[in-house]
Amino acid sequence: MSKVIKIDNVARIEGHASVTLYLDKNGAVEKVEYLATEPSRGFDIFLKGKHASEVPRLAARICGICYTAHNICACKALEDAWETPIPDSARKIRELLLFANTVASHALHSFFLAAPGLLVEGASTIADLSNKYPDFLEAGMELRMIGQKISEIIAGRKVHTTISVPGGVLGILEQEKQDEVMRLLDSTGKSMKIMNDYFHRILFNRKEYMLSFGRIESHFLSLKQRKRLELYDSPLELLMKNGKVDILTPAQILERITEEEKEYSYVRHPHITDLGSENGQFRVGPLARIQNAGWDNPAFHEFRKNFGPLTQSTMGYDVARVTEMFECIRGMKDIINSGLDKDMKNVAHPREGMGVSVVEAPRGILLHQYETDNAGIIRKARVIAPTTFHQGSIERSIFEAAKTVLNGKKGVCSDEDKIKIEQVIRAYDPCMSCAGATQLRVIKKPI
Amino acid sequence: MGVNISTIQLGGCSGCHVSILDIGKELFRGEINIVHSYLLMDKVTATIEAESDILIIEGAILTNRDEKLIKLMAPHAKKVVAVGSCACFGGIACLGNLGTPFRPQKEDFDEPGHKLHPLICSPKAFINVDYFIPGCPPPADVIRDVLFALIEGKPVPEFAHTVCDECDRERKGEPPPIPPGGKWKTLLDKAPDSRKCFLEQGYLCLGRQTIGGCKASCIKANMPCEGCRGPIFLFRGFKKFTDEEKGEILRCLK
Repeated sequence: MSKVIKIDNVARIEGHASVTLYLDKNGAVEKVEYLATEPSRGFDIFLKGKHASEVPRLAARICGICYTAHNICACKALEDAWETPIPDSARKIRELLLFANTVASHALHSFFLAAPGLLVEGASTIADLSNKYPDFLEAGMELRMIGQKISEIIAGRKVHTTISVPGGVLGILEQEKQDEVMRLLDSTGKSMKIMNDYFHRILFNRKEYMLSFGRIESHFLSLKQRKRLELYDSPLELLMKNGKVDILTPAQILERITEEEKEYSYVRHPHITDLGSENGQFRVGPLARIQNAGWDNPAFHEFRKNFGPLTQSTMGYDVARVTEMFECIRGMKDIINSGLDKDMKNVAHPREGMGVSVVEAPRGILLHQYETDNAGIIRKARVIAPTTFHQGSIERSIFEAAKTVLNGKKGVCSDEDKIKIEQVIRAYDPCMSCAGATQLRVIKKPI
Repeated sequence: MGVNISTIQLGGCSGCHVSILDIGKELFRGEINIVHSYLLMDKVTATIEAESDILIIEGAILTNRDEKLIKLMAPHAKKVVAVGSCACFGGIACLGNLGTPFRPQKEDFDEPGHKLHPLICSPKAFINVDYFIPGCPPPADVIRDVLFALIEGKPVPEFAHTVCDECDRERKGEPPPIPPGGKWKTLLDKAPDSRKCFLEQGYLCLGRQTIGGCKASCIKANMPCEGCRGPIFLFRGFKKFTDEEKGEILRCLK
């Protein structure tokens, strides 16, 4: 007698997803389906026929958390299509915005979404933690607000910042504003330390759990990291399981992947074509970035000490995210110290062409592709979001996690067990609104 | 004591939830209990029918599930607040209606599950919405003012002015109806002058028609208004959509 267990409405992730577990007659997990239950909002369809100047700000609306990455990636793809260079200062502003957005997004995830389940078993919201750990809530609020405030100083608003346009950015960052950003960055020290201490306490107390829960083997794809965190522009680096490294361009990665359709999910499952659907899966995001980094940062060295140079640990994502926030703050300080001038925008001349671009969104590699005619009207649009790349990996991690949690339970899955399984999904910080932004398909199997 | 708040995201981007979180520490004051929220707490399925004082809706009706869900949740809430342009009048989500080749067929619609809705629309098509807070997303200050007015039982602030009223750029007089040279400049051209009115420079700015309250924040960052808070005549602040106003809008449309 086999059994089906459903986890409807996975909690504390962005967007909507469900999980179906198939158990065999002994209660062992046989198969897992991770269902994106939110259909596409049709961005690729309605962007068609729009003028390119409208595209970056519409693209920002794909996601309410990594809007900056979508906004900037769309600009970069159009600039690639028209071979438009941008001024050096505009590039710096874009990097500042990406760093600020990454701090806000990582803080949102680490404190509000992931921490309640990691820090106190059975805690459901960050408010549940506030009695026992008041400084934790304070630090989380502060770090998130600092990320959001920097976005506001630069782009005028906290959410859906849209000042990047093809050819550069629209605003100028005056000296007073630079000083204000610097003041905010200097005030992060205490909160960052509290956050780092808490996450390392979790790591210390639950080391076995952090290293092995939901662990799977996969390849990693990220932008090539240098001495500091690179989110904006760098070649793509594909790190294979065996340690071999391939350097690729955005167009090459599009050629090498296949997006497999699953009958139960609105989102496709991409994998490297010549390696097959299981073996060809790769992961992106903080864990992928940290694998090939050589940052000069105490938090980074601590991560390496705990996890080793090439780690496949899924829960390592949660610690990698915290480590990366240190690097973001350092990156922002470096940019402001290097100086900004008032030359922010080149004129972009539309012409017939196709452009692909990649940036590192907080959750990993984000890819935009546009084709325009010579008046700048969009003919074709395509978006592959980080969470799309993660679909297959999430499924396999749930499989491993469910095996651990349901071991010896004879096919009984209580609500507490379900919450434990959900924690591994949260490690990936999935954003289902992004994943289903484009390429709608009608799914045959009723959910 | 205490106010129970439920939040729900339909077809949207989570941006409005992020803007609600931007309110900051005040949101975690003692008197606010969050009884249902997929983003902030576990046990999502078990608490769908929890009784709440305020139900916050983000996003438009994108799937059949969304329609069922709000019809299930709305009767358990004393007040329903639509946050964000998608929930108020369709917003970005409704642009998806343009994708006609991908519309589901009638037989798909009859099936259970998460099928795409035949017409993506605002939740007000199916339930009674008491307050609207438009914006993409609405600024945290605006959400806070409305939310705490409701919690404290005070009158909800209204906005009867436009973004143009809040803008402090130099303006010669009435902006020219036709741009200089007969053609609007786009954001592909060189950056606009950060002191002068966009319309007078020939850039399309929707500030004159758009509901204010955002302190013209985009304009201060040298970005022309994109009208994310919706046309001023449609909402007249956060006041409930009365029959009188409906009549006026219909007259305008004719």
